[in-house]
Order: sequence, then structure tokens, then C-alpha cells
Amino acid sequence: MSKQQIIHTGNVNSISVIFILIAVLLGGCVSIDNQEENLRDSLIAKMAEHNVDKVLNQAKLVFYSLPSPIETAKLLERSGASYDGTIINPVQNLPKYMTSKSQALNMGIYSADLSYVSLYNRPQTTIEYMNACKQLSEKLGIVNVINDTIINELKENINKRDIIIDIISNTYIESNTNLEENNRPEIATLMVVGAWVEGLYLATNLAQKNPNSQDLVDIIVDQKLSLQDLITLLELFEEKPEINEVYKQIKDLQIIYNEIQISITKIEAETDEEANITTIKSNPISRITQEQFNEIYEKVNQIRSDFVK
Amino acid sequence: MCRILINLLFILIILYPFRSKSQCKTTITEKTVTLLDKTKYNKATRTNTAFISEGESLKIFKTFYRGLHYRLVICADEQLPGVDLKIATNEEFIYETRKKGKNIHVWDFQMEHTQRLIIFMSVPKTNKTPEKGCIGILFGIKKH
Repeated sequence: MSKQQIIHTGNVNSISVIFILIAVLLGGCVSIDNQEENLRDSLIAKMAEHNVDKVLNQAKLVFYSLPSPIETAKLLERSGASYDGTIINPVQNLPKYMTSKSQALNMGIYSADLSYVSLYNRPQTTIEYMNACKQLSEKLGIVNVINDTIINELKENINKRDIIIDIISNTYIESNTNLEENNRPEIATLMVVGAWVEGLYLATNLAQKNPNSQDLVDIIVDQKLSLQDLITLLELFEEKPEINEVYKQIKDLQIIYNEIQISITKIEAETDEEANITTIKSNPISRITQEQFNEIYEKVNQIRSDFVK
Repeated sequence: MCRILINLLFILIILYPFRSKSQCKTTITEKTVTLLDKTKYNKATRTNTAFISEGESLKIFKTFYRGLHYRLVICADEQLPGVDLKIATNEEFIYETRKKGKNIHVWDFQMEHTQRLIIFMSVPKTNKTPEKGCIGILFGIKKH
């Protein structure tokens, strides 16, 4: 979509009209030197920016959507990294989780591990981790989401990968929804935090063992974008005692991430009418130094150790 | 007896909006799941639902990852005069639906690089008495 088309999409107010007039006047000149061209571009960009803010700020409701464990596991699988069963949280740790905070965090952690093991076709481990999630969901009072029927369905279809992934993504989403609908949004948030941290923990540990995998490094860098939304979510419950410490830990991680630069030149949507699919094209440039990677690796390991202890 | 009936009627009147909101949410959630087509897509999120009026809007922030194919499903109650969809970054709009006034949108897209996008949905205003209704949004990831 061109800049001109973008202009037509927004609500045009008086300030925007002035910008348009200036832009049109500049555009009408027979000879435009580079300086004028740059000025016109910057005015058009400013106007588009103004309209985006204006339109988006009208929203009555705002939702923040964090990556699902299946989404993160798919990224790990696509990176080509080999399966490593030593990095997931052992199910033997289950009896340690006595408080609702540790149960919610580890429900998220086990859900991320479950997604990881299932995508790498580990049937026995998949059943073990689903059982771990079942036990934690019962402790958290999540009623009738992961029950014996689900476990049996999982066992019956254990070699049908698509069905397994459907069951896993449904149970994670339904458990989280159940907590929110039963007025326990802070517990639901802790579950999301656990899953997000475990996804990053798996990525950093796999990257440490596969130092030449650019895909794994990209997954780690890209988490800077969803980290923003995770922080916003945590800020809603910052004052709650069970959230406060977790919030501080994630904020510390954000300080490290803030040093990583991601610059994007231009984002465009191109639709293939025949295939009925749109491709979102962009050309981001990100830089992460070895030192920054090490800092993230250490911080994530520290947070995760605290969650699973 | 008459008093009991009046009380019952009063309770029903009080509870009606809650019942209709909850029923609307269930119906809309079911519709979005059907349109996601579970033979091709895994759920990436739950169905986010909202009860909104004409002229109102909502937005979702979500990061979409490089190489993954997504499906966005939006369903709105039939009494609403449609939903307009715009996709934006923090700086600009990059996509918007061409057909206005539709109550269902199924949009398939893929990411060349990872991006955090803002999905903005608005219900247009009509000249009639403003209607209220439920809207549901669901994201899926392509299986293969």
C-alpha cells in the first residue's frame, strides 16, 4: 500500500488538511530538489503518523495477545535445532509447587515444555507433561479442562501429531480463559508469564548449544516485541504481592533487551488475490552482541531457576 | 402469588442483559472456531470477545513471527452493521479491508519478518437507532 493510499484511510482533520496542502504544493513544483522531496516525505509521514494515533486511540477496548506455547515451539522446531530433553523442567519437581503463584507459573512452564516435546514427537514425555499440567490445573481449581477424557484422547491419538497439537493448544487456552473468567486474572497472567519465560529459556539454551544458528538468535531478539506486551499485562497487577516480584524480574530483563536495536525501514502488505493470502513484507535490521546474548541468557536462566525451584 | 410473579419478572428483567451477553459470547466464539477451520489451523489465541456499540472500536496488540502463516477470524453479531478492519504498526496503517459492512472477516496472512502489529476493528455508525452486539476475534497458525 503506498503512502498516498495510507493518507486516504485515516480521518482527515484540519491539521492534516494543512499538511496535505503543503505536501500537494510541494508535489506540484516542476523542479523539486532533494531537500524539498525529503520535506514532503517527512510531512506525509507525519500526517500518516498523526492519523494512526488518532484512529487507534479511539479504541474502547485494548487486548494484548502473547505468543502461545505452540507458536513458540513451532519457531524452535523451524530453527532446525535438535531436541534436548535435558533442558525442560522435570515432572519430578511437581510436589514442590505448593502456592498458587508457583503452580500458575509452572502450569505455564509445563505447557511450554509440553508443546516443545509434542512438536518433537516424544509420545511418552507428552503424556507425562500433560499429566503434570492436569495435576497443576486441579490444584489451581481449573475445573474440567484437563480431565481423564482429555488424557485418554491424547493417549489414543498419540501418533497423530495434528490432533495432539490441537489438544495441547486448546487445553492451554481454555485453562487460561477459565482462570480469567473465574476472576483470577493475576493467576492467569502468571501462567502466561511462565509459558513466555520457558519459551525464551528453551531458545537461549538451544542457542547456547548451537552457536551458529541465526534462526535461534532471531527468535531471542524477536521476543523484545512481545516483552512489551508482557510488561503491560503485568503492570495491571503490579501491586498484587504475587505479581510484584515477577514484574520486577521481567522489568530487569527488559532493561537488557532495551539495549538491542531493531530498526525497520518500511512495512508493506501485498495480497496475492489468486492464493487469497497477504504477505506482510518488511526489512528489519537487528543487532545483538555476544555480550548482550550472554546477559539475556544469564538473566533468563536466573528467572527461570527462581520459578521452578 | 402475584407478588412472587412480579419478583420473578423483575429478576428476569435484571438478568436479561447478562444472559444475552453470555449467550452472544458463546455463539460468537463457536462461529470463530468454525471459521478458523481446525483441519488447517491451530488456535494461537483464545477468542477475544467484546460487547460493543455502533461507532465504537477495539484493538489488539500481537507479535506475529517470521515464517508462520496466520489466519485472523472476526465475527460480529448480525444486528451490528459490520466491522471494518485495519492493520497498523505504531507508525502507519499497512492494510485495510476493501469490502465494508461485513460481519465476518477471514484474513490469511504470512510474515516475511517478525513484527508487532495492531489489529484495529471498528463498527461503523448508522443513521438508525444504534445497535449493540458482540464481536469475537480469533487467531490461528497454519498447521503445515
